Amino acid sequence: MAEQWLAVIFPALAAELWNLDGTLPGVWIAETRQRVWQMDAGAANQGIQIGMSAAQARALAPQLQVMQRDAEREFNLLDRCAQLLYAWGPQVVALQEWPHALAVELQGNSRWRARPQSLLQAIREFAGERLRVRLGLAPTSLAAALLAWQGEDGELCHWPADRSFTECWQEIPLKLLPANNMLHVRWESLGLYSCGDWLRLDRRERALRFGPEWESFLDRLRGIRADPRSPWPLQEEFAVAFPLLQEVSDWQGLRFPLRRAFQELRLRLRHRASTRWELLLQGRDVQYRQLLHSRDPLTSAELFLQLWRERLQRHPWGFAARHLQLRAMDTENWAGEQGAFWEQNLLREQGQLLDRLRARLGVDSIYRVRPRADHRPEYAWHSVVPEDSETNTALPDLRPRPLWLLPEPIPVSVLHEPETTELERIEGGWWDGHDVSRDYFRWRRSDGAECWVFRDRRSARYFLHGYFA
Amino acid sequence: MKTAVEELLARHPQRLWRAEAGKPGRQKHLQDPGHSEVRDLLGGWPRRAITEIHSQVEGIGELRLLLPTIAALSQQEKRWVLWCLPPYIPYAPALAAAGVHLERMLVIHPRQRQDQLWTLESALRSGTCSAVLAWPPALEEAAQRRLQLAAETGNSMGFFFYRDVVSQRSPAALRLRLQPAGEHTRVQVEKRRGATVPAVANLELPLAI
Repeated sequence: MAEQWLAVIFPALAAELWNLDGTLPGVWIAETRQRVWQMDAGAANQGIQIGMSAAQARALAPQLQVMQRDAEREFNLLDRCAQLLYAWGPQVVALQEWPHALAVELQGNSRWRARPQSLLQAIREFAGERLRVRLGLAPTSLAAALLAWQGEDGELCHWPADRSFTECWQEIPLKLLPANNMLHVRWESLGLYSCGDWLRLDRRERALRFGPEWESFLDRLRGIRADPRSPWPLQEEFAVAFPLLQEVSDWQGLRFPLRRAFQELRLRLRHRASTRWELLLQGRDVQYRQLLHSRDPLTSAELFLQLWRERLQRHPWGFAARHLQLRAMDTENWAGEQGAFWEQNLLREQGQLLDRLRARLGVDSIYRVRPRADHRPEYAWHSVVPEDSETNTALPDLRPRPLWLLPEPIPVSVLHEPETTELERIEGGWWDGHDVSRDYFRWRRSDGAECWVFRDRRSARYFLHGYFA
Repeated sequence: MKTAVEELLARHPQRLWRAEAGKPGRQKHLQDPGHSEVRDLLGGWPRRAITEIHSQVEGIGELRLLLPTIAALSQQEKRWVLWCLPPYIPYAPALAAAGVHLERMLVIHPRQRQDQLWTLESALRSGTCSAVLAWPPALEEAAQRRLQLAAETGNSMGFFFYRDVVSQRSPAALRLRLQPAGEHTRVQVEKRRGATVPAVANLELPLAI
């Protein structure tokens, strides 16, 4: 099977990064020789052109912003894109011939073959409205990149299905090659417009006239010479981090970027999922870290956002956040949701409700009660997590117990001594230091309440311990 | 040919009904209360609705009134019985002895009023709780209506216990007032959806089922 590469090119990343929120009328970047090197759509609309002198550009559109390159931000964005592409292919490489170009090998990828649109859609969503992206598909990474340059923004450019690569590659225009202007002018002056024109010249002559590197380039483009490249480093942890377009201090502002981060991570996680997520928000000189646990792996963006909303509205970060990082912790294999029977739906819905309650109220806010084999009433029950699967413990045959137990016994004044036959003596606890010796009995209070009272045999005082509610 | 009223009745069976349909034994959407005297008095607990239980004193049988229903729901359904803001500890040995399946029972204590209302609405609306027993703060009418709608949506029964007198206007399907009466508990029906005449009964509620 022939190799297949998808090239992803950001033609104006350095400039567009400065205007992701669209608040500036246009941005262009100057190179070291004070010429326009890159610009966004706003600058292009004002008549700015690549290679124009900086003075000329300033005179033409003085309102436009001139920015310096931010190498770190550019790398971070390319890295996020590369990590995303790893969800589709075993190898992602940077095409160093261009400043912001990546390629992913898709050979034999069943996910790509089954639904090519899902990858293209993911890349388009990643780029959003403000970043232009071009896509090309070809048997070599260089050919894919040249096709991408030839195509339209956001569209995939590939060979016609009924023609082979060996027939078509010769039609690639030489003007797309990443050569300097002098070389492009020389090629045109010699009547060389396409790779086919180039091929018609003698090989040795070509090397002498234009340099051996272009022989190598064309050979790698055609696939007759190996094109070894170092793979883009694959992140071992699943985390997404990016600066926020605007400072965010409330949930409404955070919702969109958080959704974006989750969707990006979900694509990268593929057949894995996580029940633990860490959110890190960075302000000017403050940091906010929050963990979210869920009972089941979170795969739905809506549920994910719902849980974070509950958590963050309860525990607001309280400053203007400028940077967001989302990390999926303890990822595990996930085979998808099983079945759709009513009971399974109920279990899933119960899990979701539990997650929401815990996200908002805290993990310990919800519990179950279970009886425990102990004579002392306060030790005859304990709280357990809702997931505890043990059923009711078998209990000895006791006298009726009250439905309400007070957290602590309250001293009371009992007006009449109960009959001996009414008493239930409860003693024990010497083994754990909480020894009790009590006589329990029912007592109807003057207001009609049915009380469970005991007389402490050591102090001879009476205490209210529960209600037969 | 159907009259306009009959057509409306057929189209909105949950929200529109004839008053006489509320007579004991004739309503369809009722949960068996387990006590024969309560059955005679009310027919049953209204499903998909809120029932208010008012009493000035705790410990006069307000839980025993519901205990057979709670036990039956926990045995028959896989949905939860949620206890929200109980004033004391629901005592596990007594509940287990009464047949309540404790693995279907959850207890929750939201602290702030906003969280309390949110919890109640979420639980009632989610469809995951067969019953929600709650000791809520005083609720304004809009909040009561919201919770009533949530109970309808989630096919859940809400039992709200109040110690203080609340507004006489309430969308609850049933409102009871409990008072001690010697060895008995006096149950006064203050409001019942579909019924026109208030009813009173003195019930003898056993300590154990």
